[in-house]
Amino acid sequence: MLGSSRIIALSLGCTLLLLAGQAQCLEAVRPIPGYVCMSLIPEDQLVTVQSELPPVLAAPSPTAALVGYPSAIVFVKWPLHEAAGYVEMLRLNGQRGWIAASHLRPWRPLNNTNAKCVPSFMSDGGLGTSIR
Amino acid sequence: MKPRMFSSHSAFAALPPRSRTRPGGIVAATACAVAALAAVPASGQVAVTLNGPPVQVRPYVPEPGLPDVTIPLGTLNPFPSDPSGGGSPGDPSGGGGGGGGGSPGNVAPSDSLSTMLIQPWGIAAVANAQSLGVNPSALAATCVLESGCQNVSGGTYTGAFQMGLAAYTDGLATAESINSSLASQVVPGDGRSDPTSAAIAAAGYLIQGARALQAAGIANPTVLDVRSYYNFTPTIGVQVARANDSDSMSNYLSPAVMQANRITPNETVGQWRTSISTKIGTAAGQTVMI
Repeated sequence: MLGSSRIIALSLGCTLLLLAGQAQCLEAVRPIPGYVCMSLIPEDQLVTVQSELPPVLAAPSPTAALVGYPSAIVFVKWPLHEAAGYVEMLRLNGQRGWIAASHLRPWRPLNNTNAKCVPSFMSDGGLGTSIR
Repeated sequence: MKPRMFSSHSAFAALPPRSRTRPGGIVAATACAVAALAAVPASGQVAVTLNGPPVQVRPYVPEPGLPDVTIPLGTLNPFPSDPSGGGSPGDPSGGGGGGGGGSPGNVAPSDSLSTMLIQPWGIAAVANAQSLGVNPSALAATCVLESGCQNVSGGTYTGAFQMGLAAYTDGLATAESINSSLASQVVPGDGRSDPTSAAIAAAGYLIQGARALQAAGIANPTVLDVRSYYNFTPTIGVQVARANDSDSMSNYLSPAVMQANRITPNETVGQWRTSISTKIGTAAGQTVMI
């Protein structure tokens, strides 16, 4: 949980950005407990048509109902909850689902830094990422 | 085959279809007709001095099942001013909308829309976007960012909307699933270099982007929200839309993608969002769907 001074600093930063004419301001305010970042495999990230992505399913079974499609960074439940080749995950709308483990790999910074990816609650009340 | 833009009994029926879509062509044709009439002596007619401004042709786009789009000459933007919109038309600062952007159903004027409307295919693109429930300003902002609304050819990404073939095909399918009558305006095969076809496909792709972001928890995605989906592929686009402002773009995009999109190595997500807002002005905070 962030301290109040940290939250005030974030709010001030957003205010300054809005005053500068930026149409949107989105800041991470605190981590989502119990989840870590993983990445989709590179082939999936290059797909330009969403329906060609690996599905997020309601249960760890290929016959389970389609919940939706993943984004590039997948929030997986930690400790890892794996069943029948599927991993439990959290979608950006807060919905839980399952994705085939074969489409995931450990998250690594793309820019060769020591940055950490943190699944986060965002300043607009939704979910998102913070990579620092 | 393109639909006819003007009725067959109009004075412009003899013009080729493309010319009939251009307000400038109509003005020229009107001027020619007036000049021809003036050159023929007519008995019993009395010369009348013009009192007031000359009569102007009002081009319109008839679309079966849809209201006409009427655009008085001299007006670049057919939509009334929206009092709730962020900033005034022509304001390049991007307005001052908050994270949620404009209200649903908001079709506000924008600099981008004016840019698209002066293209020969702009009026048809606006009418088609509206028939799909897409904010014409969102479509206009896309072509402004991709090509300056010019029909740029060549490469993997081509046309005014700079689409890849897979995205074009899929966007078209989405659009036609909503309004099947649009198929009559789409050229067969790869129509990315035909701006009318490409605009329909781009509108369909924007719908996909809006739906993906809605599924990611953004109730009413703005043009700025959907920009990353259109620009960087679906999975990366959704991620960037939900990224922390102060994160580096290099944490979300590969070096090759960064370079191809002229994103500097130290650019933050917030700075990228600001740069897009600056380029498309008031459209940035408007919702994609109306």
